[in-house]
Amino acid sequence: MSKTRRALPYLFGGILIAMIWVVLWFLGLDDSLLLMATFLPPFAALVSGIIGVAYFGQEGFMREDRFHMMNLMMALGLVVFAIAETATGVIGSSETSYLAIILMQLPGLLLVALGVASYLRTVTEVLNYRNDKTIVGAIICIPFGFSVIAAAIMAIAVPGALTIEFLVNIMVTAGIGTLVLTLGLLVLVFRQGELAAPLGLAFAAMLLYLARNILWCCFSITPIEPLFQVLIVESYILLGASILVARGLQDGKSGIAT
Amino acid sequence: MYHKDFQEEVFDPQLLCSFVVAMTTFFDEVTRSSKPQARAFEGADYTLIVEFGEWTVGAVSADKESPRLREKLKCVIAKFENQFNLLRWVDLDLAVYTRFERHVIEEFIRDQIEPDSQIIVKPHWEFYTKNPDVVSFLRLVPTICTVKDAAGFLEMPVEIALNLTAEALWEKAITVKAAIREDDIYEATALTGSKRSAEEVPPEVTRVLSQLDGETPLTIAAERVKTADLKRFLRDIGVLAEKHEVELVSPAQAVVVLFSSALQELMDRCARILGRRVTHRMFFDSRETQAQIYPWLAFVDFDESLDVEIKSSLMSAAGKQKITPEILNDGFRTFLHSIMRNIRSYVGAKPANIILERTREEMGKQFPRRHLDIEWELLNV
Repeated sequence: MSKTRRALPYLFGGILIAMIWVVLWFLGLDDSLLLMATFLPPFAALVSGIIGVAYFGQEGFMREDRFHMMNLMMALGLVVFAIAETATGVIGSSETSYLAIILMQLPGLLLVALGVASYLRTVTEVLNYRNDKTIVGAIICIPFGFSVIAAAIMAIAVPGALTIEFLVNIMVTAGIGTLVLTLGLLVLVFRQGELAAPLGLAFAAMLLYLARNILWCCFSITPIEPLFQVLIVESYILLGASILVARGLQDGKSGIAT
Repeated sequence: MYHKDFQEEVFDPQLLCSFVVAMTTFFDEVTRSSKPQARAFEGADYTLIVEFGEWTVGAVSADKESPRLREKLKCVIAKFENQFNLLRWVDLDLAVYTRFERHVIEEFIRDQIEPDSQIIVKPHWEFYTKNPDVVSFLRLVPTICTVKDAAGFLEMPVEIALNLTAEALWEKAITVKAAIREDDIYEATALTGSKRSAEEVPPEVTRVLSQLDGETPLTIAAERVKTADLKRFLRDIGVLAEKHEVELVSPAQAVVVLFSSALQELMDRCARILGRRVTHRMFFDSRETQAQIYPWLAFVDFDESLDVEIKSSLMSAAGKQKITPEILNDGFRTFLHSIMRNIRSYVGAKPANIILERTREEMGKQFPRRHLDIEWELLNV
């Protein structure tokens, strides 16, 4: 267990940032809030990503080791997120750039999703849960069905709301929903074991990410609204903590029963 | 005195009898003990196992001593003393031979024969046996067939066929060979196959010789050379075994092979979920703790590419019967259990048991019968 504890200071840092954020908001210090909202997301993503790549990248791509691959993919995804967040900071000032922001986030999301999906595949293969096709089907169908229905209702209820931006956004949200469901399923499978820790953290991270996207998509809250940027910062930090814990599992001599 | 030659005559029974009596008396004299002390007398290629009843002495000459054989001998002596109690006090002709025969058949012959065993009828069997049941049985069965086939052929229950086979074997009218099973492990003694056997055995079986490395069950070997007809393949292996081109490996070695395949399957599954590093470390952690009790586990290795490797010293020790199958079985089982507990701490009990179940299924394919030698239920965590 000792080596998984390395993630604890990291998590504390995350909580601290969140608290500072809230305090700043209460005090109404909008300038510093905006400053933090611009610089912290790329910074958090970059630090988390670099920690992951430094460790999991050492051995390169190991195709047959899916757990390793998943973590490496997440770390690479975080680095891509860092670039995307930097770019968001640059173009975020103009009001009509949601689509560009989403599209910039996509590569990172795809990397994370690929890693998680390949891990889910080997887990279902090895454990052979009932029928892995039904599981994969359910995981994909539920969020997509949900978002298509939401889009339809939106289109009928609010005429003129169905723009390209909205459609893209709903699709991306559905994709993140799939990711969250997948991670949730993995956590459920391994809930009694140590493997649940990194997977659970990743699950929480993606849940926060999803929360931001839903806020963005359903309540039209601008993604660069300083207050809500805290969600994405926490999400990156949690993902980094997940990678750290996974790293601890990989080379820690945990006090396991023998 | 009662005696029986199971194979060709080696000792003159009278002589043997006097020898056993003389030697046991000698030992008792020397050690001044009231209870008989002698247990066995050893020659170059035979061992005389001696057991004492209350008033009888029993001796069996065998290749080597085994606890099982001794147990059987004890049992036969007890039955004899029980049945011919009277002989202790008076010397009478009680037709010992015909009346006791049945017990000896039951103890020493009957359990060698299984439904899958092969009956090979000797060329001039009519000269060996006068027993009418056996004669009518042998007259109808083909020269080489399994007991089950014979039973089906004569439309009689397998149990009766087994008994008749035992009697025929007793009369020495037939020889019985243990069946070759699909998960037996054979080792080739010559790699190329002699010219003589090449004439009788199809080339694909001669090719299989290179696959029979003493670590591969016949099912896998058959798969590797792409044999279509497993039954025929087994028969060909039988022919090769007859010519001593291939040999059955020792039981201990078979246990090592069985468990190392199980270990490999388990580790493969584990590596896919937990990653290589964790699997690697888990293996060595478990081995380290278990090696305190079973030092020979240090010879079970696990390399970087996740292959379970049995060091040749352990393999040869098992091959030469220096280590018993029971010890190997115990050691490997606790080792597997320790690994299973490690897996459980990572993934939780239910997935761990599912991994074990999948491993068991896979082993069932590779070792259709023998995979049950592993006590899977005890490995559940």
